This record gives sequence, C-alpha cells and structure tokens, in this order.
Amino acid sequence: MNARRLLALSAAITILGVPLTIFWARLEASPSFYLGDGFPPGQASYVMMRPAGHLAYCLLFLQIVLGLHGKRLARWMGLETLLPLHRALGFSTLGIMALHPLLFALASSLRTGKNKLWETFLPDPSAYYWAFYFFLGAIALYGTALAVAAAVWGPRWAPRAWRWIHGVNYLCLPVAWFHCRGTGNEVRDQPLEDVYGVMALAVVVMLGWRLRQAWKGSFGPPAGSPASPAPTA
Amino acid sequence: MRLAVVLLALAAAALLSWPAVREARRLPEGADAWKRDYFAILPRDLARMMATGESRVIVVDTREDAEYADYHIPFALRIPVRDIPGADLRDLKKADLVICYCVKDLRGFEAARLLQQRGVANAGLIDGFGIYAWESAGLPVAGIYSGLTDEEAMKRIRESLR
Repeated sequence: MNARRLLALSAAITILGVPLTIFWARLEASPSFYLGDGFPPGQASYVMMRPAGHLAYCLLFLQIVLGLHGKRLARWMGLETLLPLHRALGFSTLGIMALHPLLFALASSLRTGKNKLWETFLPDPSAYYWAFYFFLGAIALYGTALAVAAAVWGPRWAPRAWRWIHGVNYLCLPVAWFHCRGTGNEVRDQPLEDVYGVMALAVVVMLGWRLRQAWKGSFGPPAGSPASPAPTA
Repeated sequence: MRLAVVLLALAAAALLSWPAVREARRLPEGADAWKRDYFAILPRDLARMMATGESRVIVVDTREDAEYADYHIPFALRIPVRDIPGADLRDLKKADLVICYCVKDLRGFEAARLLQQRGVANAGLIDGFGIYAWESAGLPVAGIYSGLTDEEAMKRIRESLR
C-alpha cells in the first residue's frame, strides 16, 4: 500500500474512531457491564444505539466526501476508481443508519413493554420534544435510502434524473447534525459538538461548490466564445 | 476492498446488536435484577417522602432544558448525564435518597450509575420508570404544560396524600 492510500485509510479510521473513543470514555463502564443483568430492560440497547449513531454520522460524512471527490481521491491515491468502495460504503452506511433507530425502538419497547417501532420510524414531529428531532433523523435515514435506491435503479429507470435524486444525500448530513444536536448526549459537549458541526458545514460548502460547478457547466459561455476558458490539451 | 468494507460493517452491526439481543433474550426473568444495586421507589412513596420531609430526598432530572421547562417533578434538580462528571455532588452525597429520572429512565439509569461510581451510594430510579410513571400515578408536575410552579405542584401533592 502506498503512502497516500495509507494516509487516506488513516484519516478514515480517525474520523470513525475518535467519536467512538470519546463515547466509550464518557460512558465510564467496563465492556462487560452491558452483557450482564445489572440494568433495567432496554438499557443495553439504548447504550449501543449511541455508538451506532456516531458510526452512522461519520460513515455518512465519508460517503459524501467520496461521492463529491471520488475521482480526485482515486487519482491522488493512484487508483483507477473508487466507485466500488463508494457503492459498498453506501450500503454499509444505510445499514448502520437503520440500526441506530432500530436499537432505540428496541430499547423503548423493552423499557415500556409497548411496541415503539412505528413511533420511532414514523415519528410525529409535533408530538413531544423528542419527536421533532426523531423526525429529522427519519428524514436523514429515508433521504439516504432514496439516494441508494436512485444509484441502484436510477441509471436504468431515470437516466437523466437519478443523479439529482442521488444528490439528496448531501443534505442528509446537515439534517442529521440537527438530529444529533437535539437528541445526543456527548454530541452536545466538546469536542464532538464542534467536530460534527464542522463536518456538516464542510458538506454544505462542498455541496455549494458542486452546484456552482454544475451551474457553470449547464449555463456557462459556449466553447470557443471569448468568455469561455481556453481549451486544454 | 468492497468485501472488506461490507464485512467490517456487518461486524460492527453484530457487535452493536449483541448486547441488545442478549438483554432481550434474558427477559422477563432478569427484568428486576438491577434492583439489587439501585434503589427503586414507587412514585407515590417518593411523593410522600418529598411532601413530608421524613427523609432528605433529592430528585435529579437528567433531561434537557426545554424538556425540564415543559414539565418536571417539583423541585427536581436538573443535571444532564454529560454534566455529572464535572458536577458538585457534595449535597447529593449527604442525601438519604437520590432519585434520577428522565422520560423512561434510559438517561436516568446512566445518571444513577455514574453517581454511584462517584460515591453517591443512595442513587436510584422511580419504580415504573421516569416521569411517565410519576404522571401515570396521577401525581402533578410543574412547568409550562401544567401551568403549575414547583410550590403549587407540591401543595397539590400534599393535598392528595391527606
């Protein structure tokens, strides 16, 4: 593995590992505690839901960076393409994003003795304090599912429109940021508060840049006109 | 590379799900095992202790500002779980009983556990879990939803216990 690929891999591991490490340090519990029985029903599911959320957020960030800069990164790393990685990471991200509310639904159901699956996956944003932020999380999850569906079936069924639908995923991270700011525990404390905020802001900036490029490509001056850039060899 | 990513994701999902599956499988037999190490008090017993002052009880609300403002157990102290490591716990250590709560005590239990680790030996939860159990027992809450102050809600508790 060359140095650049190693650097890219290290960056990805750091982005994924740091929030999980902070979560574990803040938990102040031994690894085996939540495998025992010294806690009320649903507690282990609730505690495991939190690192699933951190993982989902960071995976979504990495996936969006790959989506926006995949070609550049591939060239920099001396690879032909990163598309297979982007596809695999897309499915993985969606899976972990779905696991996060599933674990919460299990925690709530075990704690209250009532089925909380529908309330978790189809939250009423006006119901109570948490429901609005759950609703934002649901938007991020379903937006990502839509993006994955667009990539899988779009090229065949909507060859022109599927990229725009797929691009909905860029908005999922800022929405997920509002979700975790409203519901998270360690996310509302330093340093994760700033780190996650910077990630969401970076995606918004990258998206703005990408839209500008698309605008220039669609509506820029025609090739050969004095205002158009000189052709490159 | 694709296979490695998918396998890692599956491994992560399995690792995160394992404690959850284990706890689901041990129920209902193990549902009350936590009461070995933590106090569990019924809402009406807690209300009586608060109203009569027979013991020094401190109730800790582990929810967020907005939730607390909407409704809370009268005279509950607000200490979110993330603030416990840096909080001054001297008063809590002197109390006869410290009851942590949130909505369903998912955060409440974490708070009670962290407090016990920091020397607040008499930390516990509401039996029935959270402010849901308090309201289900017909006990009044203070805050915007009820329109009651802490004093007014406590007065209603005293009246209901006569």
